[in-house]
Amino acid sequence: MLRTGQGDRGAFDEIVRRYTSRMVNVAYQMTGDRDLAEDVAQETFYRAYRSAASYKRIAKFSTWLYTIAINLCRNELRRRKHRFYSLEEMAERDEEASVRIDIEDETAKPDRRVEQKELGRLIMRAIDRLPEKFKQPLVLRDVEGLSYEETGEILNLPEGTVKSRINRARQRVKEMIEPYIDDSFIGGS
Amino acid sequence: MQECESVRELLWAYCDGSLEVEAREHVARHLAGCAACAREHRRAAATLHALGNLERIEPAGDFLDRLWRRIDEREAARGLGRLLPVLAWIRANRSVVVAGALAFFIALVGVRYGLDGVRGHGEPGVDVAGEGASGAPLRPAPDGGYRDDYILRGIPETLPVAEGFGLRTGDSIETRFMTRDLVPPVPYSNDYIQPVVQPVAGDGDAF
Repeated sequence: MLRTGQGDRGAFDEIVRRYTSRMVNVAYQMTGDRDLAEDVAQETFYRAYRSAASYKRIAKFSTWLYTIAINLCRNELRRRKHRFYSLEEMAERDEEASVRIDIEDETAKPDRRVEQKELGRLIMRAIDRLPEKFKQPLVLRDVEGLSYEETGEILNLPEGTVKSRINRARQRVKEMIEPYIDDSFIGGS
Repeated sequence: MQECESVRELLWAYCDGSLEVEAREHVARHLAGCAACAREHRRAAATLHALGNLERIEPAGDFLDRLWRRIDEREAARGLGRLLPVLAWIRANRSVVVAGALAFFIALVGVRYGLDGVRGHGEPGVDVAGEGASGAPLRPAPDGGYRDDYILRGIPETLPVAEGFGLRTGDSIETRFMTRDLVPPVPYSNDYIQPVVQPVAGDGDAF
């Protein structure tokens, strides 16, 4: 990063190559939109590049990048929400979403054995329906594999709060996917 | 039942390995003897496993190229953005700017012609031989001669050619000559001047 600050574009290329996948995927988990995820990742790297000259190593570099990406996701999601939906429209949309899930519930029998890939899709949908304050720590810790400490640093939250939010998020995801997984599947995992 | 509740509160930490040794052993003992909690544990573990193994998307192949385009465009825009307050100030203070520019132009012209005036009149007896119009020394050309037009300014006390033009020693003249006719190794000499003589001061009747 220091070399980037001195104008070394090759050094920045290296950084981008190393972290692109992580930034795109964390943004994808947060937004559920592939194009938006790439856009957020690009903006993350642009912000990092712009700060390169004044960059001081006060935290792990990846933690810093994740912080930028998470903040951008938060801003982008809020911006989109405000742009497209009034409060009334949002309520209607939530209602529609729950109806849609109910219909899907009928086609997907609760005792049906769900393949691993399909389970992934279910979990993605479950994550998508989590409130932001549960979604963020869950994605960072359980999907991206960061430590509780790093997750707390990124979200600027005490570790205790992070753990409690993650456990509540896990519980909600588990409850959402439980109807789709039977004991034989669980036993086999 | 109470023990089941306390164990279930610890299940997630048990699954992700963040429990202290003692608590972990306690949960493990309970799970070995409680089918309901063991089933909860398997579900929790399956959920965590699925979360950690979600399919990852691949960034587009031209991600880096697009990023550099974005950086270059934004940086260019930022550079322009920095100029905007200056441009706004210029618009707001147009008369000041125009007056300043005019003053600068007049000063520039004044300096230019003022200097020429000083040079043109020169000091009597000053030998300016070998100096070009810019004041730079004559430069030898590869073919042995000298190339370039030079203006000699000064008083040609020993300038026979000038005398041929009817100038008197002591007259102030400006002489333009082709130095390509000056042939080394003979050093520069006023004898070699091919003059186009114009009086710049002194007695105009000499012509």
